[in-house]
Amino acid sequence: MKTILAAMIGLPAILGFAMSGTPTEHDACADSAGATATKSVADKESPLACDRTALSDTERKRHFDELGPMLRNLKKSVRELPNGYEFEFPGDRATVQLVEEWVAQERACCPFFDINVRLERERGSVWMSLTGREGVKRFIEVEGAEWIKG
Amino acid sequence: MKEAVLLLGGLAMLTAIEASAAASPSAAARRALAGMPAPDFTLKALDGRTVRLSDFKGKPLLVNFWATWCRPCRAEIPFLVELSKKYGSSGLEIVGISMDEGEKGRAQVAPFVKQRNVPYLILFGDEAVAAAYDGVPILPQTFFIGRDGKILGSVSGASKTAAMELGAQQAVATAVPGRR
Repeated sequence: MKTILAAMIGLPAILGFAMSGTPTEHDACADSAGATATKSVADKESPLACDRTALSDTERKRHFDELGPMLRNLKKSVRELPNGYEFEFPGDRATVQLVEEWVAQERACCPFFDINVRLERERGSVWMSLTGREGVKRFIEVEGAEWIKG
Repeated sequence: MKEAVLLLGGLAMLTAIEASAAASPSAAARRALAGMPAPDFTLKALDGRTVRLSDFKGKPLLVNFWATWCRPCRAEIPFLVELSKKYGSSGLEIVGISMDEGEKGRAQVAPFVKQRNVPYLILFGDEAVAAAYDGVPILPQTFFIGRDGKILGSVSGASKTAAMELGAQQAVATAVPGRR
């Protein structure tokens, strides 16, 4: 029995790093594999995590302290989707540029999001959706609550 | 015994998951840390005192790299608090290493910790400690350290509650050095 227990205690040391991964490693998450993901995307699925080196300190400040609040103020409506949320913004050029800038940074920092930007014809609204695998919608609800509230 | 069998079952599951992950130099480097003594560090705590990893000698430890701007990190905190309550009586210590940068970034840590009622120790990290733990390229990243001071494994990203709990159980289950 002692031997078995010792082996059990030793096993984690051997298998310990079974839990590790980084975005560039295309880590397979325990809670991953969203039903709608294509195989190629699922193969590259990154953890629900931020890439620490994706944004410089200045870019991070711009993203979180300026662009985010600006877009939340501009937001016209929110639609709930099965696997995330879609946000409506005015269709003027300045807003389109803000959305583009935010999306480029968000994509770099949070690779686990599917981001879609849709520009309505006749210079209509800009729609931006944030969706993803299982757990992403809940994540938006908890940590992106300020985006969802009216 | 039942718990040990469950632990083994969980490990087998996690191994199967990892088998599908592609290898990379970074992953290889972190795997090389498995079973190795956790790199020591000397960092400032929120209250200004100096804390060393070696201060926790003989204790099972969960070291969580995070930042206030990192939303997955913030989402993970309630679960870490839960782990702290659940395994605290078994000796598990949780240490959060904030990777917030600059004076402004660091100034946000104390109000955040107070607002979220984070009960465990928070330290201010730096690039040296990140480098010692293979760069910590993503946040959150959690390392599990046994009572013997050796790294058992790590979990990258939030929402991996099963893996996190397993890591905590592994750390708590390690033998106290010098005891049989």
